[in-house]
Parts: sequence; structure tokens; C-alpha cells
Amino acid sequence: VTLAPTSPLRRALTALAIAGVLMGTFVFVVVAGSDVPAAPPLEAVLTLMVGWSFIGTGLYAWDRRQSNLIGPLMVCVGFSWMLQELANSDIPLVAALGFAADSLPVAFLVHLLIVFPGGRARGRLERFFIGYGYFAGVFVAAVPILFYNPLSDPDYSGSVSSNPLLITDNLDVVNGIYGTLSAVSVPVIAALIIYLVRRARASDAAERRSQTPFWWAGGATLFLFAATLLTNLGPEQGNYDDVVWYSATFVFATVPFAFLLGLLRTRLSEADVVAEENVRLDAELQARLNELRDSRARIVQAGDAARRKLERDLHDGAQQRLVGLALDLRLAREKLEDDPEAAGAMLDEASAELSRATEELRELARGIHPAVLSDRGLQAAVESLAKRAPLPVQIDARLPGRLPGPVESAAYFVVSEALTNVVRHSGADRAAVGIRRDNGRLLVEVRDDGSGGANAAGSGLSGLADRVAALDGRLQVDDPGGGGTVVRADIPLREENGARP
Amino acid sequence: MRVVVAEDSVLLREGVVRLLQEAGHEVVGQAGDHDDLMRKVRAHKPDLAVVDVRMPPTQTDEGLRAAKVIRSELPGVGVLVLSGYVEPAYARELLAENAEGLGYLLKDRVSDVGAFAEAVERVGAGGSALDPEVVSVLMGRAREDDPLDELTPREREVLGLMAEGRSNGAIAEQLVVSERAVEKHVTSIFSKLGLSASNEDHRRVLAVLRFLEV
Repeated sequence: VTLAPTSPLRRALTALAIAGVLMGTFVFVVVAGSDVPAAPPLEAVLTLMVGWSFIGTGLYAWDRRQSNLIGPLMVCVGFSWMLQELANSDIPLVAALGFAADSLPVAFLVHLLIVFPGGRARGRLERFFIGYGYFAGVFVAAVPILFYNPLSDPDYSGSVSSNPLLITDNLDVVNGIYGTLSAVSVPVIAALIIYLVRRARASDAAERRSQTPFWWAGGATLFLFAATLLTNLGPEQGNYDDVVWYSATFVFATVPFAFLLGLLRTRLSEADVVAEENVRLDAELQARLNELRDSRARIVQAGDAARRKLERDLHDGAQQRLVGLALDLRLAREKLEDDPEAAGAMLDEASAELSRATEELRELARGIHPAVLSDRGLQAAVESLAKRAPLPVQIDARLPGRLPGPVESAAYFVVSEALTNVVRHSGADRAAVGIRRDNGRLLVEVRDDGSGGANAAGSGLSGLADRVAALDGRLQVDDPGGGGTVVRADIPLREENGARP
Repeated sequence: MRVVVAEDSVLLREGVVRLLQEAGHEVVGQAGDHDDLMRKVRAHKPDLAVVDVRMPPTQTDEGLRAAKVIRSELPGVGVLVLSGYVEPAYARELLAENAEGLGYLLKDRVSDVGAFAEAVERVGAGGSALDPEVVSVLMGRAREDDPLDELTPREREVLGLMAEGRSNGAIAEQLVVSERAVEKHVTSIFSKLGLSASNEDHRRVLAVLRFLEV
């Protein structure tokens, strides 16, 4: 979803971006001019890197997925990071706020890592980690400022003259709280890292492609942060603490870039997948087109063949008989006066021949399209077929109401052709026809107990397969073994096939 | 006998009318479609309506529908349905409950003047007529354990003629045997097939048809 530039959310995000830039500039000046950090310029640059990269990436993610918590959390990490850097200020109240926000970025980071990428915590364990993060980072870490007087701290190198939030000056309380917090948090963070690693391992390939950079950067940050906590526990060890601190900060700054890298990898692999899919679809489409062209050609050929056969039947059958009749009638007319008795016999013969001609025409018409099919539907037509079949045919059809015309025709001719094959080739003693509707489809089945061995490529059946395929259905000829053949047609009752919507 | 003829093919209609007139019947009305037929039957209340199955407006089964309406509305009017093709399904539909005063014949039968005239007489008098082809499809149908196998060839012949709606007398005449002999055959057939005998020909037709349909 892309937002209009003037939407309220867009305006809020723009305001946040401006606030981020202003605050960053302010913090940069504070940190760069401070005596507190071991290396003020490096600390100032890292501060901007962490702050702006989290805020920028977070705003982008927020804009992209408005209902996902990832974006807002990243923005929070960015701002809180810059906020805790204010501890380097020489303005007492500002410095005190910075001290109080000391562990806030890590609390947000923990929340971020746990809900990545869906934006939601799943299960009690995840909610525990998030809860612990906020409890430790917001409440416990904010307590020491009430007892901390920079003037009585021999390690403090800044120029703050007082602490406006001070209640009682007690460095032991401060160190006690920090020590306890660190001692409890290190195992919790270790457990969290183990949990995240196991969760990442359980993800699938596509998820891994997009999430791995983020897991690595986030995990490494947590690890190094735990290491800084450990340095709090032990005695001061020269610049070892500073190395750990700057490493942690530097790795922290890579988290947003890892997030962006994941997005990029997803985009690239999505493009690959789409391209691959396109190739596959192209091939499928081409195959289907070829199949359609072939089946259309076969349908046309079958139509031609049927017309030729019809022409032959008419020509050799009814037409011959009628020509013969015309001749007989003329001969009878000539005999009428000389030999009335012979003429009468010839007329009798002629009328019998005429009966045969009409009968032939009737059968021909039935073969083209039985009237009972259009008048009474599939069930009546198939029952009629069964009654005329030279072997017992058991019908199991439950078809209340009428089906779409093209479906009825296709199903009828499947049954008709299959029964013809049964009679001609199978040597079966009996056949069974089953027709039923099932879930928007018409299922037709013709089975016999004959010798089997029929195949779908047989001329009559392949024409029918095309006819069924034209309705997006399928015709199958099975030889189940143990004798017999099963012809199955499966035709969808769709709107395109004449079904009512 | 007063007859109304409904047939949309003028050629065939005139042929039928001529046949009927030659057989001594009075054709009181001629119709070319369903509504025309109903109007003329209601107006003339003839003894018999000879009706084509396919007629305007839909050219499907107007004749069958008209036959049912006429039989229920005017029980005194027999209906002889003519069709270009025979379907046992239509016969069953037409003769579903009652075969009295109903007939179903292939159009071809018209050319067999004697048989046609006989069917006209029979249906007009409240009897039944079923086309021999319907009967032969029903009787010739392949069955497992065909009960008709029990019948002698002569009995099969008699059964077929019964199914066509003929009386014992007519059957006797057709087979050139005595009516007494036909009665014996009929009794034997009914006991072999497990049917209860009936003296009325149109009831007998129904019993036989139901038996053959199953």
C-alpha cells in the first residue's frame, strides 16, 4: 500500500524524520564536545550511524507495512539510542535523562528481534523476553540515577556539576543495582540468543533468505551487549571495556542495514522465482495451445468423418431404396392393365421397401441425435440405450432435473460409444452404467466384464475424449486387470458448458 | 366415429384425414399446432383425437402433453399419439396410470392401412394401442435371468399382441387360432410371469407394460 504524500501517517512520519535529523545533530554536537566518552569523535559518528540508520530504516518499514510493529520499533531504537547518548551532555538535566535511558535501546531491540518479521509475539516465552526487556531496561535501569552523584564518582570524566534527579548520594546502591541487573540479564540474553537461533533454524528457505542477515546482526549485537554487561561485573580492565563497547555499538549500527539487505535479497529471489514461474507457465501454455490445436483439428476431422459416413449411409441406404422404389412403382404402373395381380404384388413389395427405408432413416436420425435426449434428458436417453443394447445393462443414475445441453450430449455419446465398444470388442456378458453429479461435476462410468484391453486412442473413444476435453473434462479408459474395461468421463458443470450460474 | 386430427405436416395430415374418411369416420376438425388442437377438441368433443407428438410451438412433445390434458379433461375423447420415432420412455409416460383410450403409434403405421384403422377403432372405443416396435424393444431387451425365457414362442407372440393392446378376439384372428386357444395362452403367460389376470384389455396392457419395464 502506498500512501498519498499528504496522508496523516505520511505527515507524522515526515515529522519524525525531521525530529530525528534535529535530535541527531544536537546529540552529535553534545557527544563530539564531551569529555565522557573514551573517543568522542568516534562515539559521535557511531551515535549518528545507529540513530539515523534505525530511524530511517524504521520509517521506511513503517511506511511499507503500516500495521506491522517492526517499523515503529526500529524508530524507537533509533531515538532511544540518541537519547541515552545524552548522558554525555554537560547540562545536568539532559545528562540525567540520558543516564535514565541507558538500557532503553536494548529493550526495544529485544522486542524488535522477537517480533521480527511478523510484528507479533507468539507464545509466553516470547512475551516473557519482551516483558523482561522493558522491565529491566525502563524501570530497573532508570533507578540508579536517583542515587548517582557524578561528583562523587571517581570514574566520571564529564563536566556535569550536579544531578537534578538525585535523592540520595549513594554509589553503592548504583553499583549494586547495575551489578544485579547485569548478573540477571546475561543469562536471560544468553537464553534469548539460543531461542532465536533455534527459531531461525526452523524457518524455511525463503524466510531464511530474507531474515538471515537480520538474525546475524541482531544476535551479534545481543552477544556483544551481554559482553558489555559482563565487563560491568568484573573489575576495570583498561581499554578492554571500551573495545567491547565500541564493537557492540558498531554491530548495533549494522542491524538496520542487515534488515535492508534481507529485503533486497527477498526482492531479488522473488524476481528469480517470478522469472522461473513465467518460464514454466509459458511452457505450460504452449503445451496447452498445442493440445488445443490438435484436438480442434481432430474435432474438425471427426466432424468431417461423421458427415462422410452420414452421406454414405444415406446414399447407400435410404436413397438406393427410394430409387429402387421409384423404379418398382413405374414398372407396377406399366403392369397395371396387362397383369393387375402382378402389379398389386409389386406395390406390396414397394410399400414394404418404403417401410424399411423410413426405418433406416429413423435409426440414422437417432444416431445423429436422439430426440429423447433433448426432450427428456440424459437419464431417459441412457435408459433407452440400455433397453436397446443386446446385452443386459444395469443403469445406476440419479439425475434429478436437467443438465446443460452440451454436457448431456457428451455424456450420452460417451455411454453410447462405450456400450458399442462393449458389444463389438469385449465379449462381455453384461455392462453397468453409473452417472452421478458430484461437487459441480458430472461423473459417468461404463464398465463391462469382458476381455478388457480397450484403449483411449481407439478411434471412437479418442473423438469422444476431444469432445469431453472441449468441455474441460476428462475421459479415461482403464483396464483394471482381472478382465473388464472401465470408461470414465468427468465433466465440469460450468457456466461455459451451459450450466446456470 | 368423429375425429380431430392434429399434425403440422399438411401432407401427412391430409393423408391421415383421407384414410380416416375412407374407413368411414368423420373428421370434424384439423389442427396444425397444440393450441389449435386443444381448441378444436374442446369445441367438438370428438370420439378420438389423432395427435402428432412434435408440433409447434416448441416441436418437442406437445402431443404428449395435449394427450394427458385431453384424457383428464374429457374422458370420453380417446387420444392416438403418432410419433416419428418411438421411445419406450414416452410410452411409459403416456400410459403411466391408465392405458384406457390411449394409443401410441409410429407414424409409419399409417401406411399399414388395416392395422391403423384397427388401432383407431380400438382407441376410439376406449381401448389401447401400443406400437409393435415399442413392444419389441421392451420384449427384446437383454435381461439377466430373463423371465420371458419361460414362455413358448407362441406365448411370446400372444404377450406381444397383448402389449399392443389387442383383445383376445383380435389376437385369435391374427394368429388364426380359436379365441379359446388364446385364452389358454393368456392364462399360462400370466401364471408364468406371476401377473394377476384382468379381463379388461387396457388394464392388461398396463400390467404387461409394467412387467416389461422393470
